[in-house]
Amino acid sequence: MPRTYPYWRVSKFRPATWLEGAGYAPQVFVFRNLESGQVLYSQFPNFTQQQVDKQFQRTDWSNRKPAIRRDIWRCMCVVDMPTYESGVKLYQNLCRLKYLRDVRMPQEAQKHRKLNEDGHIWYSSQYRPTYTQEAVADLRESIAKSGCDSDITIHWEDAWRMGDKSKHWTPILPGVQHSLMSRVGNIAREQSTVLRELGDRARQEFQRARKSNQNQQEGHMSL
Amino acid sequence: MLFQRGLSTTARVSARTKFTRPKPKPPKRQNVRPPTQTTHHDNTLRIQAPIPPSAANIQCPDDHPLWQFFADKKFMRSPEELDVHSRPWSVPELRRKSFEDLHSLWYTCLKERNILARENHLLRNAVGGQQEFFEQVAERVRTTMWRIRHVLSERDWAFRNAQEAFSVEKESFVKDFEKEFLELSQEQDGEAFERLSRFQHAIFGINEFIDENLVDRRFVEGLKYVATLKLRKFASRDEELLNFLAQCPDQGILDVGEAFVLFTSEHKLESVKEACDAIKELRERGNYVPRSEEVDTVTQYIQRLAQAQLESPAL
Amino acid sequence: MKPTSINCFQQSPINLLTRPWKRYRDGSLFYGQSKTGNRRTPITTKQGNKTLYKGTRSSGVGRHTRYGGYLINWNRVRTFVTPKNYNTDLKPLVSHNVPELKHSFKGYSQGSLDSQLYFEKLKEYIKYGKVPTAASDVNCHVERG
Repeated sequence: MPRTYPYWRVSKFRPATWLEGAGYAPQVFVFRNLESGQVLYSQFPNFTQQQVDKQFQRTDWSNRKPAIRRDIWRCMCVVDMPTYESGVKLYQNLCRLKYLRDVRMPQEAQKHRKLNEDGHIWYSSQYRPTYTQEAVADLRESIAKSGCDSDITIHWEDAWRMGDKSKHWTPILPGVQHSLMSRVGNIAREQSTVLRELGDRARQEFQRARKSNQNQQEGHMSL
Repeated sequence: MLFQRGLSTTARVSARTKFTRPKPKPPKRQNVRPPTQTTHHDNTLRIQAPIPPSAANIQCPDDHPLWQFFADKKFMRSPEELDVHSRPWSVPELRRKSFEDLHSLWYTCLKERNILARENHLLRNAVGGQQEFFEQVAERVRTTMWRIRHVLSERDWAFRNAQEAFSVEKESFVKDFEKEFLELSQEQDGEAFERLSRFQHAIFGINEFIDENLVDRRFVEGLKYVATLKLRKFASRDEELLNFLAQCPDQGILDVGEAFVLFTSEHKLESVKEACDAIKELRERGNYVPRSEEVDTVTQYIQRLAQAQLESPAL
Repeated sequence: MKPTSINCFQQSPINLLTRPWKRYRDGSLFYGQSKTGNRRTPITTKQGNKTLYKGTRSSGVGRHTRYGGYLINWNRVRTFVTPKNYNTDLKPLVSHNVPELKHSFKGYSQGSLDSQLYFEKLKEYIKYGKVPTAASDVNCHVERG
C-alpha cells in the first residue's frame, strides 16, 4: 500500500472512490473468530470496534459481541472483485445478509441451524461452527445476487472451509476462481504481510485490466 | 418563540402570508458534485442454508511429517495387529551395539511410543476400547529406552574407571604391545602396521585421517613414541639404521620435527632410511623444536600435510 | 530468626544421647510421639496458606520481562537430536522367539565396569581390529561381556 492510514480512517464505511484514492485494492476481507466461530466482514485488511458494533447488533449469550483481540481473529478469505464498486456492493450485501440473519429474520436463519438437545445452536465450549458456515453461504449468495460473476477470485485460508466445490460453488457461480493463501511459515504472525501482498497483487491486476480496457475503448474510438 | 424573540425582522420578511408572492424557484445548479456513494445492497438477498466444510478438498501428501504419529497410516490399530508377544531389548544385547545404533534405536522407540500414546489417549478418552494392550506395549518400549540409557551410562563409567586405572597400567600395556609388535616378522609387516595405527589411535588419539586430529601434549608424545618404535622395527633389519639408533640420545627420537619426518614416511625400509638421512641433515643444521613450541609446530605441520593431501588426492 | 543452638552440632556423648532435644516440664527426656507431630520435615505443596506456591521446579524455559514479554532461554528448551546415520532396521522390540543373551563377567569383579575388562577389550581391538564377537552367531547365548 502506498500510504498508511491511521486507525480511525478505516473505522467507517468507505465508498469506492475513497478506497481507490487511498490505494486499497477492490477486495473484501472476511475474518473469523477462533474462539466463537463468529465472522466479521471488512473492506480493509484490518478491522475496528466500530465494525464489530455495526455487525453484531442483536447479541445474546449464544451470539456474543466478540472482542477485537488480534490473536483470536484470523482471516478466513479474501475476495478479489473486478471493480471497486462491485467490491463495495459485495461488502454491503454481506452486511445486509448478516442484518437479515440477526435482526430481520432470525427465525428463518434458525431453521437451517443445527441445534442441540436443548434447542440452542449447537456448540462445543464457546465455539459455534454454524456462524462460519453461514458466512460461506452468505458469501456465495451475495456474489450471486450482486450480478457480476467473472473476474472474481476468492483466496481461502483453508480449502476445507469452502465446502464441496462441485456441489455448492460451481453450479451457482461457475466464473468464480478459488485459490489458497500461502501457508508457508508462521501464518498467524505474518498474516498482515500476506494480506498486504495479496492486496498489492490485486491492485496491480486491477490497474492492468483498466489500462487494457482503456486501450480497447481508444481503439474503438479511432475506428 | 424564536421568531418572536430574536429575529423579528427576518421572520417578518420571510414569512409567507397570503399577500406575499411565492419566490421563484432557484435555478438548477450546474456544478453539482455527483454523490460519491452510488452502490446499494441488493434487495433480492435470501437467507441460505449454511455450507458445511468438506474434507475432500484437502489432499494430504504421503510424506507429511505428521504421518509419523500413525502406524501404517491407519487411524488406529486393533489389539490383534499389535505386537503383544515381543520382548524389550535386553541389556547384553544392547551392549553389543554402537552408539549410532543405540541412538537410532532410541529414536525409533520414541516414535513408536508417540504412536502408542496417541492411540491410547484416543481409546481412553474418545473412542473407548481395549487400551491395556497399548499400555503394555508402550511400557515394554519404555523398558528398551531406559536400558539404552543404562548401557550408555555403563559405557561412560567403564571408560572413566579405565582412564583412572590406565595411569598405572599404561607402562605394561605399552610394553606388551611393543614386544608383540617387534616380534612380528618381515612378512607380517602389513598386519603389524595396521596394529600400530589402531594402537596409536587408542592410546595417543592419533587418527588415520590427518585433518581430524586434535593436536595436544598426548598427541606429541605419541608422535615421538611411534617414530621411535618405527625406527626400532626397521633397525633390526639394517645395520645403518641400528647405528643411527645407537647415536640417538636415550635410544629414541626426542625432537618433534624428527619424529614427524619419521612418522610421515612410508612403512618401507628405503623410505625410513631416507627419513633418517633427512633427520641427520636436520641435526647438522641444528634444527631443534623447543619443548614449549612443540604443540604449535605440530599443528602447523598437520595443517600443511592436510592441505597437501587436499591438493593431490591421488597421493 | 532465632540462632540455632550450637549444642545441636556438637557431637558429645551426652548430646548424642539427648538427641530429641526435647524435655518434659519435669526435665525428663521426650522420646515418643508428640501431639504436634514431626516438624522437621520439609513442607509439601499441600501445606502452607494460600500464598504458598512451592512448584515442582518443572517447566519454564525462560523468564518474564518487566513489560509483559517472555524471554526464552534456549538452553532450557528440550531438543531431540536426530541420529546422523539413522539405522531404521532396528525395531523397538525383539521377537519373543529369540532367547536373551547373557553376559558372564567371569573373572572381572566389577562386571561391565571393570577396567581390566576394558583393557582386555582394547588389546583385542588393537590385535584384531573390529571383528564380530562370538555372540554375532544366533546360537550363542552366553558371552564373556
